[in-house]
Amino acid sequence: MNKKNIIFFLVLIFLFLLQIAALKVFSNVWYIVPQLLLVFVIVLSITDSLPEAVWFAFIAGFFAEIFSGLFFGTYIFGFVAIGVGVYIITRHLASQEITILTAAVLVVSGTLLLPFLAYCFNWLASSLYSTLPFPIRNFYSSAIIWTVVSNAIFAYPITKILNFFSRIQTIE
Amino acid sequence: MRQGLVHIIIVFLILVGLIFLNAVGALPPFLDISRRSMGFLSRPIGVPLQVLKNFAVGIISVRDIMRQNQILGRQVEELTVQIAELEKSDLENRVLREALNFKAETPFVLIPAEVITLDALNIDQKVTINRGRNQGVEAGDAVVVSGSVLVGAVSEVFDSTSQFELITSSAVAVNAEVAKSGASGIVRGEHGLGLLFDLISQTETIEPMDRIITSGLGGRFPANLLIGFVSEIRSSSSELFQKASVIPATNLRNLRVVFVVKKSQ
Repeated sequence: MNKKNIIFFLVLIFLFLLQIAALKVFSNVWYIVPQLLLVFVIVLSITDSLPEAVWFAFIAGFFAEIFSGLFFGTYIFGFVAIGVGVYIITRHLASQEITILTAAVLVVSGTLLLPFLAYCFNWLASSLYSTLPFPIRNFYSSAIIWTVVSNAIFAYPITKILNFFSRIQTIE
Repeated sequence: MRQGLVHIIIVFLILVGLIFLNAVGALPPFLDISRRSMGFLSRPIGVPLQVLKNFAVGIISVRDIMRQNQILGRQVEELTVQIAELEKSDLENRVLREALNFKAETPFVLIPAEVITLDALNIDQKVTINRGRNQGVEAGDAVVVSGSVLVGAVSEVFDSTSQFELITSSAVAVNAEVAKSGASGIVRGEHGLGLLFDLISQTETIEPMDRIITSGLGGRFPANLLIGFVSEIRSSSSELFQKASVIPATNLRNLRVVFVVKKSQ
């Protein structure tokens, strides 16, 4: 694990702590709290290599599992799938230059996709008689619009933070 | 890309391994410790966020606070009168119970618990608290606030933390009755969106703002815990049962301290 990855890991822990503290403080308007771990995974998948994107998505998913009430593995699966998806899109399908707008579109898409992936994983687990199936409306509420906006806004500072630490590493 | 594929396969194999470890019970103790430590570490971050929230709320709602203060002042006066009447009724009730040799109600033991956090991504309706098996919490225990307002039921218990399902979750159903008329039915969650009071006989009377309390039937939840208030009667007289929307008695998204209800031995 190189120095940059250690710094990224510490940033991830900080974002996780910030998210759980924010969810507790703003519990009555929980939908405005950004999904910082998901945004981190998407931004990292845009800027870094596939192995890094996959492993950080796994770690971020594991952190999300700590406070999850869903079948174990839902967030790990969702984050890894989104991380890989974002990597493939940005390296093979999108144009060479990744703009802030592209990043915002990917964050919005990832936010909307995560509940669907969670539903699919839960459906798979329930078909193996490991949990009870939840209807898809459980995963999508109208409040997701606020989360999408919040995630898109927070994608900018997280991109800047990761770029900042990447640049420090490059200079050294 | 091929190297990346190897990493993806390794990650999914680890995921399968973790799911297996979780299923055989090897992972929950680790998750339990992680919840407590992460909950503890996030506290210092929560302080400036709370200050920020208080500041924003203070600026936005000064006028609201003044108006609410007037309303609350009036309510305090009304409630003081009601308390005096209830004390009188309570005394009368006790005298009559003694006269009729009624068995006294079973008192509860309340285990205070602090909410660590909601589900990190808020997809479902679970809340994590800092009390678990070591403190006597068991799956199925009722969770209340303010002594007698039902907010949920414990669904998963670890050694020192546990998770409870909010009553608005579709996984929770509570035998309930209208405090005023005694009309009984079942209150269940509507996928986190609200509460539905269902299976009420057409012969029973329900009205908007009626208080809904637990009936104690089935023994899962103790009797007389407040659930909420009827907001709207949804069904027509041609249907087999009546239905009504219920507003929870407390803000379920703003829970800080809750109590797990244990029946005393």
